[in-house]
Amino acid sequence: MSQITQTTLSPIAVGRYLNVDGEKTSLPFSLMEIDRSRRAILRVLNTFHFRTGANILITSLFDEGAHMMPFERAVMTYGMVAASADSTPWDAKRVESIVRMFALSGAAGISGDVLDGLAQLGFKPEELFDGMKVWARPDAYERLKAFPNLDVYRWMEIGPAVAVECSQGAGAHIDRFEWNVEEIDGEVVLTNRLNRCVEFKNYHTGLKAKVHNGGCDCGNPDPRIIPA
Amino acid sequence: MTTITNDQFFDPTVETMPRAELEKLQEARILQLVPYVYERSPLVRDLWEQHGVTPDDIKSLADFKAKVPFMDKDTIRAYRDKHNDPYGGLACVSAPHLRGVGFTSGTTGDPTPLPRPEDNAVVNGLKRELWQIGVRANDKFAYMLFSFRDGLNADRWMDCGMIPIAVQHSPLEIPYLVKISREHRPKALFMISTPIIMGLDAYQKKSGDDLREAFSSIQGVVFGGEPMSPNLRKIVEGWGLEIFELSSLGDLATAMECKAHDGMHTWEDIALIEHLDPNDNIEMPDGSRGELVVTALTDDVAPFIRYRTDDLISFTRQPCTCGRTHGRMKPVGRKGDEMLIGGRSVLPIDIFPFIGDFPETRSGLFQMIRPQREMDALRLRVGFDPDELHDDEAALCERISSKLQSELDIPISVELMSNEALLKLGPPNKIPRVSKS
Repeated sequence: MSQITQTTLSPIAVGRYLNVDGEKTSLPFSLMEIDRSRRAILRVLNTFHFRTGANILITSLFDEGAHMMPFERAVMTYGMVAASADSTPWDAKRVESIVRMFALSGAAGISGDVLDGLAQLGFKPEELFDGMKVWARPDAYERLKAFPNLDVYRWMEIGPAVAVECSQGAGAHIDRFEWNVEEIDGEVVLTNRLNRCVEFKNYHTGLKAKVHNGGCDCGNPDPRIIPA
Repeated sequence: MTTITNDQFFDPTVETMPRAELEKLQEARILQLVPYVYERSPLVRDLWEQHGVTPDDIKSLADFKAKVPFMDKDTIRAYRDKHNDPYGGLACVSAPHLRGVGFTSGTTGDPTPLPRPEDNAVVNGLKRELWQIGVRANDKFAYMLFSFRDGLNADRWMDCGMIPIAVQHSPLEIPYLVKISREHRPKALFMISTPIIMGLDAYQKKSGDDLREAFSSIQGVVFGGEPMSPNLRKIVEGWGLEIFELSSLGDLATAMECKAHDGMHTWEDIALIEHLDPNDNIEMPDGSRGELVVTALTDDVAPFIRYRTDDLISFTRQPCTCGRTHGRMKPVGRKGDEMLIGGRSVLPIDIFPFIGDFPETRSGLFQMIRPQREMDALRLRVGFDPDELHDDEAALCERISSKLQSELDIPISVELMSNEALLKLGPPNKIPRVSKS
């Protein structure tokens, strides 16, 4: 049975996660949680051998701090520059402008809304994102994967957690120190292993997926999630 | 044990600093900044060389104001395009000191990049503002910035202990805003816009939910992005909320009203404020209208130096009754938005007080159509609520035209568009108040 408990750990902010019904639910989070997640994402970014000074586009929404801030801070830790745009249709013009003005090594958090906005403006993702690593959200992943020239990886929110795919493209890694990840009846079930502002015990995420444990060819032993 | 006796200000030393000390602080920062930007910012070096200015020429704040050339959005864009430099020659450092890059709204062409350091000058100013509303350490506030394009900065509030609850700035998020207001009891709501107020009003009418009760923990709500129409003000005050208006300080910080509601405080330790003749380098008299020109005093990544914002403001350096000593401004409009109708100056701020006078146009949505600066008559696109229409559209046009013509004494032609259609012309936080067509 799922249990969600608010603890006495002091939050620095309140983000949100999508519950099993897809509804936004507030998620107080601490700096410790953000920093642990940043370290886990660094393990993934390390597999791409980016160069310091590279530019990474991050498309996100303002309320996604609990999930996207660790990625943004991992990019900065790597000595790369994070260029920001909203992952909305109406900010697609900015996405195009950033791609054109900056020599990007990667683009993260690309959503179906971003692709829809680009399409409305007549821009082709297979041209815009050519030559860079693209981390796509589930609603954009298959659409971008359809273009053989693009280098597309998964970026996933899984309840309160985040999973990011490494250079091997064999599933999105989730932090094994932070989360105990189980696959129960084909559903991803999470239990936090460390102190968090909100504890999730046997939390049924609603995500139907395969959970792969053991080593990945990238060298990162964090479990990998492949949506069904 | 130290006892804090003055709880009125977040940073009493700076917020109430006497003018002479404040200017001394500005001069110290300027004299540090001048050789730094000359050595490191390609745009500054290029610009100053064109004007024959070197750091040796600047030995005081007065020298800086007299000799340093201006930059503006066009200067930055021109440098960007000529040198293929996405930062427009502004960046003084590269990664890892340069952490990220945000952007201006980009309503006219490519957005101007705003490279950002680890620290955040905007948030540093906002801590003072939320404090004076009543937010203290361990208090929460609803945090609804217009956009993510400045990056994720929720952790930048740590050093004041205030806890932001991030909410997406969209009318679609209103049920969630109401939910978190009951769940977390925020002390402030930062910030709302015309579309959010319209959305909240519609939500309350449709659901019957009691917003006065839902927002009862909120001691102040910040409104920004444009002037507030009188009708929207009434709606928000009906929820029991005190409104604090906020404006941008040339994209390098913000300026916001205090409880005296007599102008927005311009943090002069963060930005050197000049209040100049829009067409010249002449300081305008205190209390008069002029153009806002800013220099970033605490940004070592990509500081604006004598940046002409195109924003027209009235400005005073008289101390505020709240006890703060920094200047105060009242936005008037954008220089580039001004129209001359039969020789008379008209800005959106002239329209706001009257446009919501009819039940159909209570939302206060309008656009000035500005194919060119000078026109014989003002063309106005006005948003209306078809459900409130009590005669027909032609009659409504006539009522609006008559009202505005009598108030402004200029010829006006009005065209109507439903609120819903008009809102689609802009991002979720506002519509463009001036349009070419």
